[in-house]
Amino acid sequence: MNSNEQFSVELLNAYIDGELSAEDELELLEAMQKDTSLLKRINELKRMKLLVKNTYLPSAKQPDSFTKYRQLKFSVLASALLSVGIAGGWYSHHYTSVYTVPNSRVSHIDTSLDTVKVKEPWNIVLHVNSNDPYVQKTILDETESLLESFKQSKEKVKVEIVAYGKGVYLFDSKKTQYKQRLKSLKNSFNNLSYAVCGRTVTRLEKNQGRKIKLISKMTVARSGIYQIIKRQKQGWNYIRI
Amino acid sequence: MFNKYKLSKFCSEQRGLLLQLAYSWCHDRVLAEDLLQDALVKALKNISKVKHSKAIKAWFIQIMLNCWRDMLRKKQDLRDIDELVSDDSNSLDNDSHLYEKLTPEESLYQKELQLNVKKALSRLSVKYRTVLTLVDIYGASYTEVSVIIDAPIGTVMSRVSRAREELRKYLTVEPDLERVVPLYNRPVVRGDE
Repeated sequence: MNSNEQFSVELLNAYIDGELSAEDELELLEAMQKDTSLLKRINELKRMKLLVKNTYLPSAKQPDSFTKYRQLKFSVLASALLSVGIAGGWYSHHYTSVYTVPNSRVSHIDTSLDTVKVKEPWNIVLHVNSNDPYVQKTILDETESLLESFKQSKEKVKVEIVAYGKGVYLFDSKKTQYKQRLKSLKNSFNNLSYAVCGRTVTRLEKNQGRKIKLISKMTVARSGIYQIIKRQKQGWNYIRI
Repeated sequence: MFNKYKLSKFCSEQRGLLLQLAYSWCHDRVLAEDLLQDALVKALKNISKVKHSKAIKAWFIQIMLNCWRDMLRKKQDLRDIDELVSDDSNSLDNDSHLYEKLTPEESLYQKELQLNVKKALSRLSVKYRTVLTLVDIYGASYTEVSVIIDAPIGTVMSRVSRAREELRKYLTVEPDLERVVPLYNRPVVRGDE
C-alpha cells in the first residue's frame, strides 16, 4: 500500500507534535525509511512548525538556540559520518539522500531541520532470551523503574522489549507468569512496546505442534536479532540485563 | 489548594512564553503586554474557582484567550496586518541587531522570512490560529489544547493539520519575486565587469 494513503495528515501532524503512541510512531518510522515522499511531507510539516516557533522567539535568545542547533547539527553529522564508515555503502547512500539540504541559501531555520529527525530522544531496546522467572522479573522491574524515572523527568523515551529463544515464553499467553504485569505495564506507559522473534515462534510451533497465542498488542518481528540490530541502526540503545 | 502565590509563581515562570503567545495573536508588543495584564487581573479575581493547581495552565490561557476575543470584539485599535511593515519597532525583538551575529544579508533574509510568517499566520482564521500558536509557540499538548478550547482531541488534530496546510499555502503560493537577492547570489551579467 502507498504509505501516503496509509497515514492521514492528522497523524503526520500528530507525529510532528510528539503526540503519537509508541506503536504508531514505530509504524510511521518504518514507513518513512522506505518512502522518501512521506519523509518529504513530514519535513515540510516540521518546517512549518519550526518557522512559526522561531519567528516568535525573542531575538535576544536566538543566537543561543541557533548555536545549539549548529552544535547539534555538527554532532549529528559527525555521528552520521561515523555510522557511515561502519555501516558501509547502502547506509551512507540513505543518509546523504535524505539529509542533503537542496538550497544552499536557506538560513538557520531551514538548515536546522535536518537535525530534527535524528534528534530523537535516547530510546532503549532490552532483550529477554531466558525462561527463568527470576530473570524475567528483573527485566520487567528494570523496565518499570526506567519508564517511571523518565516519566518523572518528563523525557520522551521509548522502550522496547525484544524476546527471542526461550524468552518468547514470557509473551506466550499460556505459559507466561506475568500476563497481568505485562498488560498493566503496557497500559500505564504508552511509550513501551513489545516485540517477539518470528522465527522462534514458528520453530516452537513446529516442534510442539501447537499454535502459540501471544499476549495482545505486540509486534512479531522478522527475527529477534534483526529487530535489535534494526533498533540500533535507528539510534536506539541496546541494554542487556 | 491553589492560591495567589502559586499564580504569581506560574506567571513569572511562564511570562516569556505567555508574552510570545499573546504577541502571536495580536502582533503588537504593547497590546500583548496588556493582554497578559488583563488576564492576570481576571485570574486574580476568579482565583477561588480553581480547584487544582494542575489545571492552572489551561485555565490561565483560557482567560487570556477570552481577553483576546474581547479585544477583537471591541475592535480596540488593533493594528492591521498591512501595517506589519519591516520596521519592527513594535515587535518583541526591536533590539535584535545588538545580539544577532548575522551578516546584513542574512539578517535581512531572516527578517523577511519572519515577516512573511507573521503575515501568513494572521491570515489564518482565529480558531486555526489559536490552536496552532498554542501547539507551536506555547508548546501545549493536544490534550491541553482540547481543554483550553473546549473541544475533543479529534478537532484539535484536524485544526492543527488544516492550519499548517493553510500556512504552507500562504507561504509558498505568494511569489518570491520581491525578495532582495544578496549581491553575491545575483547572476553575473556579461559586460558588467
